[in-house]
Amino acid sequence: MKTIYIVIIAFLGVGVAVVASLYGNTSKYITFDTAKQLAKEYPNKEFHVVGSLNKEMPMVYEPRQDANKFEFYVNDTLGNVSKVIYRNSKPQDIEKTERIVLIGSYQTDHFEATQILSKCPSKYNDEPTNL
Amino acid sequence: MQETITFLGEHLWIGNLGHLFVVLATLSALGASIFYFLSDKNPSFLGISRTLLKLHIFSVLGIIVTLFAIIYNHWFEYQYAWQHSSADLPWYYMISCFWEGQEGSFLLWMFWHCVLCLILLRKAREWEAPVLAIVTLVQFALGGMLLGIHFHIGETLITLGSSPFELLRTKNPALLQIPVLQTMGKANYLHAIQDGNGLNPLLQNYWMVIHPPTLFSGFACTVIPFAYAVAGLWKNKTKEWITPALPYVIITVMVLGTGIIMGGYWAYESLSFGGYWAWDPVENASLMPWVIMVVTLHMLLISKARGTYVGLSTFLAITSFIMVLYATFLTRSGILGDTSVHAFVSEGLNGQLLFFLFLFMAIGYGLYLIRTIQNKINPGVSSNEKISSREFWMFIGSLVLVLSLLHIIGATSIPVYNKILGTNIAPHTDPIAYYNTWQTPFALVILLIMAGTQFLRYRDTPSNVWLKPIVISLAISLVVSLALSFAFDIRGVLYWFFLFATVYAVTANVLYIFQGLKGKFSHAGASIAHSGFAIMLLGVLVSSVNKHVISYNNTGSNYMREDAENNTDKMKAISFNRENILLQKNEPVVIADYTATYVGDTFISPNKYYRVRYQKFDKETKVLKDEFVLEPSAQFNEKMGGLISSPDTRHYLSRDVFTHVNHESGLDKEQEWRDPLMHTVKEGDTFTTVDALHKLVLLGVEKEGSEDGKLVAIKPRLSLTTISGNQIISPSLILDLEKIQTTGNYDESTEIEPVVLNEDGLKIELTRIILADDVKNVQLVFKTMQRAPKVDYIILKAIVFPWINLVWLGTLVMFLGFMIAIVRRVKDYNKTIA
Repeated sequence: MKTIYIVIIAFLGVGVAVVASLYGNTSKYITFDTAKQLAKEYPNKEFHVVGSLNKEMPMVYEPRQDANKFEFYVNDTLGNVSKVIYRNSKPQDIEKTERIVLIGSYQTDHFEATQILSKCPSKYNDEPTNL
Repeated sequence: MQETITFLGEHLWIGNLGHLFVVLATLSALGASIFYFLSDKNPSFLGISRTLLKLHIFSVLGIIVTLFAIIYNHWFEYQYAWQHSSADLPWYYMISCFWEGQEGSFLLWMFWHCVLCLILLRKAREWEAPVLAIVTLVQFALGGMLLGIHFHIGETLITLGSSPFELLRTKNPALLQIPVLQTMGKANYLHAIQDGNGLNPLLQNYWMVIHPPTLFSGFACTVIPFAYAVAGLWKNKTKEWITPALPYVIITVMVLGTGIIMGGYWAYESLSFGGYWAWDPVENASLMPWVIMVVTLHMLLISKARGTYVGLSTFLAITSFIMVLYATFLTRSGILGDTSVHAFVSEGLNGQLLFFLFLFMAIGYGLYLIRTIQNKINPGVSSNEKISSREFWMFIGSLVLVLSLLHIIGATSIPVYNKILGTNIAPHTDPIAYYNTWQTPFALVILLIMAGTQFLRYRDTPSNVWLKPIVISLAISLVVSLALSFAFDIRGVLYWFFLFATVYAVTANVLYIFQGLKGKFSHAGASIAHSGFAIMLLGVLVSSVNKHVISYNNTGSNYMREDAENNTDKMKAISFNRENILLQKNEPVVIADYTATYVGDTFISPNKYYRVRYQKFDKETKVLKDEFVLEPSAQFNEKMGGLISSPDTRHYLSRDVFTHVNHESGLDKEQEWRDPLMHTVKEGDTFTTVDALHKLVLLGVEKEGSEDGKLVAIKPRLSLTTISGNQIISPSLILDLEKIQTTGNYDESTEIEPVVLNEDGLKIELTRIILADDVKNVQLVFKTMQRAPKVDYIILKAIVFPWINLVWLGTLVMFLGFMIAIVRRVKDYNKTIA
């Protein structure tokens, strides 16, 4: 009975397809400039932008006007600043973040984030210098 | 230049004791491993091996007790205690400190290995020496992770392990440079440390006291199948190891599975992401060894029944432990830092972790390779099964599991590729949708195979045996799943097939218990566990497909992308982010079928509980049908960066109403006071604020002197009338008579005590008094200021999860099935040695 070989080959084919399509499904970490260009080419796609919170510009969250709008500014890895709008409540640990990953797409004058991943350094290793 | 300071108030003895236990535990594990290895040839070494093993177990307990004592006594001179605990922590959460830090979690892992060693000492018999030689070698490796020894080889600094007994001042030398200590003296630095950093509030939950140890005990269990498989290869008993190892494999699957689901339950009950599974890399890392273990279990059953696939089973048993080591590496090395919320930050032990990963890979796979070359085992899958045999379909099912696992590993390891290949690939933007899309077809196929396979016999099955029950179960399932698809409101072809597959798997397995096993429950472990798994997946399907946010907000400013007027997909994406609603105190808001009211809050340190009343009225008669109060909570934690919120859930049989608070008025910045207006008035005069909404009348003035006569307080009685009512207020002025006389400076010698009415948006001060000869002519100068009235409010999100109870029910049924299977396999093993 050689069925088992046929089945194995078939399954290996599926396996290769899984691994191959994995790369088609992923995106890259990009900058605001690239996001701006890509937004024209792929208006329906979302991208990852890595950067850090711009602490000089204001963070605006006025829940009494709109509980689902949070505006802030981010410097990307090249140092370019962009306004970011996140249509959700303000993430609570945002002030403390060092590094921030935005997922979303660039609109005419701002980056529209659907998700914010922030890396909070204080969780596991803050320095005891602020006793 | 090294300055020598004698630090005061430290408890160095206990740290030294802890270090001693660590060194003792590590060395005794190595000793036990060597002597167990030797006693294989020379049984007279068994005695000393056992003694060393017992010494090792004693030392591990010693480390745990010592570390607990440090945390319990709040000796913050120790880094671990400072970092992970605080003075106000209740004792039961002190246990959780063990798994917040990585040293503690290695310790927990070692502890479970010790428990398993005690069981093996009693039960392993002829396998004791080879199996324990391997387990103690693993213990040696883990002990090495706690050593905390630094030394130089040439120019390079070598670090072996990270000790839980390291002092705060050696770990963070910057501590001694803080300005306060310049005056206090560095020797007194402990006085500057008021409190520890505290335990992560997310861990301060009873589920987090039991979920991590359960999960870790599951991880720990994988060492036994590994040790048996390696021992089998080493002793050339390539088949004999299977029967004694089988109960441990089922225990591992059960405990690890329960631990993983408990984690999901914890996430659901206390995290605000709204769900029990998010395909987070750490969750995936815990799933990998479980799936491998399930595959191992099925291959072992075939090997035991048919004597085939022995090589593959051995390979899998080795791999499941390697997977645990790999998962440990992923979570400990800091490599997942950007993609996971709960990965640890690197402690600089990557080299050591990798070394042990490769060491055990070399031992396991090396021996496997040698035995293959010697033709002692057959590594291939080249046996000839009939399609009508049970083992054929068990094999296919296992293969599908492996494929599903390959996908999970492949997608989760993206940060690893980036590290190794220097690429810059980002994980998928919506991991939940991405993984669900891939894993749903796998689960569907597994369910179908799981349903029918038990009707087949090993080797070959005549069609009259399997055809009838399978046709009956298919027919029943078709009817039941059609009915359920209406009851659960499941639409879409793929979802419907999935629903059908879960129902079919349950029906067929239940039918098999009565038809195939003739109701013999002692052998029904597999059928019950399979049914439980199917029920769980049914719950996953219904609760995630029909999960819906009910706190949908239509009040915010309208938003539409410039280029997307007609694009429904985009509107969907935008609406996803409009899920929070503002609830003002005591103002009912309609959300879906409910009227929700924020009625107040209670502060029980360190949490603030917001009471939200939900009421459901009959649409026609307006009669109250249902009412309940949920108390989602939040913790203000400066160190964690603000508000940490925990949900509260109303459980019904058929659905859960899940609520959490994302923001509250107390977090808003205070607004500036505007519209200042000065009023110079005499008794009986009336005045109003700029907007004329507040009317004030000066009824009279009282004077109060302090006993020593130095201070005088001027207390006017003002009647305030607003639309909401009338009240008497008294903004006061305190004069320091002595200071006025000595300095002559009036402004510096007075203190203004204003009255602030937040809900009216009014602040009123008495700024000065103009004295007169007649008391009737004394004039008071008031200053009124205004801003928008401040109202207490919360920002709330509410989600309905339908039929989520099926997930938990399925888990319980699965657990029961495993218990039955374990009992049966233990009996099996006892028979072979009797």
